[in-house]
Amino acid sequence: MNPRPKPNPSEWRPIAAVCGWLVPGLGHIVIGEKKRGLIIMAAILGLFVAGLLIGGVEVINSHVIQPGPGHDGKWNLWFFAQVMVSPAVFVLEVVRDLLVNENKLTPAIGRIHEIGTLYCAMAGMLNLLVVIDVVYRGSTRKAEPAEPTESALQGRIVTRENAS
Amino acid sequence: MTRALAGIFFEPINGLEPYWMWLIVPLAAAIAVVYKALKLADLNKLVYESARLTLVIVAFMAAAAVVLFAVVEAFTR
Repeated sequence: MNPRPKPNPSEWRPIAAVCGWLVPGLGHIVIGEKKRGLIIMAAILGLFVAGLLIGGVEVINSHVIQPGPGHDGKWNLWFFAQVMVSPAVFVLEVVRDLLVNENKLTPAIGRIHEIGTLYCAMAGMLNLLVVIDVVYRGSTRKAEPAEPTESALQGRIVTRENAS
Repeated sequence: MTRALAGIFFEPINGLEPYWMWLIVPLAAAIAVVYKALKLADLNKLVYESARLTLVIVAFMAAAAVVLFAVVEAFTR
């Protein structure tokens, strides 16, 4: 078994990583892997929007709102995972606060709140994986030898005939 | 129009409560698609590989649920 090649820091792609955080999948599109990027974008944004549909925008919440001493005002750890989808989640949280103040939101209950929160958080964790992948993509992999084209093979045959 | 579209995100679908367990399947599918999109060199195999991984995830979660249910039943009786 071949030893794993060491990553080469000069080939890391921090700008692609930032793009990948701004819009899921954009990092892969920026480095030229358009199809891969579009698939990732569809899957992660689809999961996030599904979470918002199921649980409502109320699932994006940076602080615990459970009643009782010691709970209210604490950081909601799910929010840290959700915010990995995109910085736009911060804007969503502001929108949510405005809607709560205007009493326009219906709270999700029980499992539906849990599933909505989980969907959005899982979308964020998957995007973190994608961002890490786009930073190191190419730096730890050896270039695969390209398949010889038909014209190249014909050229090789002609060269051999000339040599003989 | 935009207000009506935004409105669907204000109200949760609380009617899905009895079917919450089925919502694990699309979650597992999304995880499988993203994981395989990162791992596969040839994306033509993506649909097959993602479907297979989705089945594996759901099967293992079901198995874990059965085992945990059995453990809880054994210790609470």
